[in-house]
Amino acid sequence: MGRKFKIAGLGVILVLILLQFFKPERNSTPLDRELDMLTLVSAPEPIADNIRKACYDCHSNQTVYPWYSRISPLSWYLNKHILKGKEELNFSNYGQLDKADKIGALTDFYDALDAGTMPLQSYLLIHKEARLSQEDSDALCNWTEEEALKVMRE
Amino acid sequence: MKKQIVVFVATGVLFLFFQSFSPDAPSESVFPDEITTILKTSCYDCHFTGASSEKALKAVNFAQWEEYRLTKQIGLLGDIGKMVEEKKMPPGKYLENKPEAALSEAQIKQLADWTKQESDKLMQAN
Repeated sequence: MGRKFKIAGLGVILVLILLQFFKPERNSTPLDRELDMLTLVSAPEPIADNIRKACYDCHSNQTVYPWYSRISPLSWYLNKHILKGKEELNFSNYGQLDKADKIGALTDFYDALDAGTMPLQSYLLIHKEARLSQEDSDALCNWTEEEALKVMRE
Repeated sequence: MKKQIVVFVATGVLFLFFQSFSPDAPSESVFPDEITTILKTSCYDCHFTGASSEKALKAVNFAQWEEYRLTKQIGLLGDIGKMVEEKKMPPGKYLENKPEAALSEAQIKQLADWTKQESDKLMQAN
C-alpha cells in the first residue's frame, strides 16, 4: 500500500515537472502608442488607472503577470482567459477601429461594467486592486458614454 | 331625430380628430419595412420581447430599440452587420429547425448595407 502511494506520488510529480516544459506564449508585446486606447484618449488619471488595473490584464497586449503564472497548468488557464478577453475587446488595438467600432467597443465596455459581468469574479478573487467600488464603476460608465459621444461627433 | 344626427356626426368628427393624436403612429421608425420583414423572419424569434432566451434578449431586443441610448444603437448596428456578414447569426442550430429563417446572400448584403447607412446617419444627425 505505502509503496503504491509512493509510486503514484512520484508519477504525479514527474508529470508536473514535464508540464513545465510546455508554456503558452506570454502576452506582453511593447505598448504601441499609436493604437493603445489609454494613450489615445484623454481619460482623467483615476479613470485610466482603474481601467489599467481592472481590465488591461486580459484586454490588452500587456498583461501584468502574477508569479504563479509561470507554473503550468495555471499558465494555460490564464492564457485561455487572456486570449478570450482580447478576442472580445483589446484596448491595445483601439486605434485600429473605425468610428462605429470604437463606439461599439465603448458601449460593450459600458454594458459589461453596468451589468457587473466584468471584471470576472475569478479575477477579482485574486486581484484585490481590480475591485471597483460602485462609485468607481459608475464613474467609468459615465466616462465611457462621454467618450463614445465624443467619438461620434469627431 | 335631427338632434341625434347632429350628435352622431359631431361624435364622428371628434373621433376623426383624435386620430391625429394616435400614440401608435410609427414616428418614422428607424427600420424601413423591407428590413423589418427580414428581421421578423430571421431574428425576432429570439430577439424580440416574449422570446425565451434571456441571453439573446440581453444581446439585442428589437422591441426595445427606441429605448437604447444612441451610442448603444450605433454599437448594435455594427454588431448586427458583422454577425450576419460573418454568418454567425442566425445560428446554425436554430436554422436546423427553421430553415426558412436563413438569410439569402442578397438579404445579408441588404442588412449589412442598411446597418452601415443607419449608423452613419445616426452619427451625423447627433
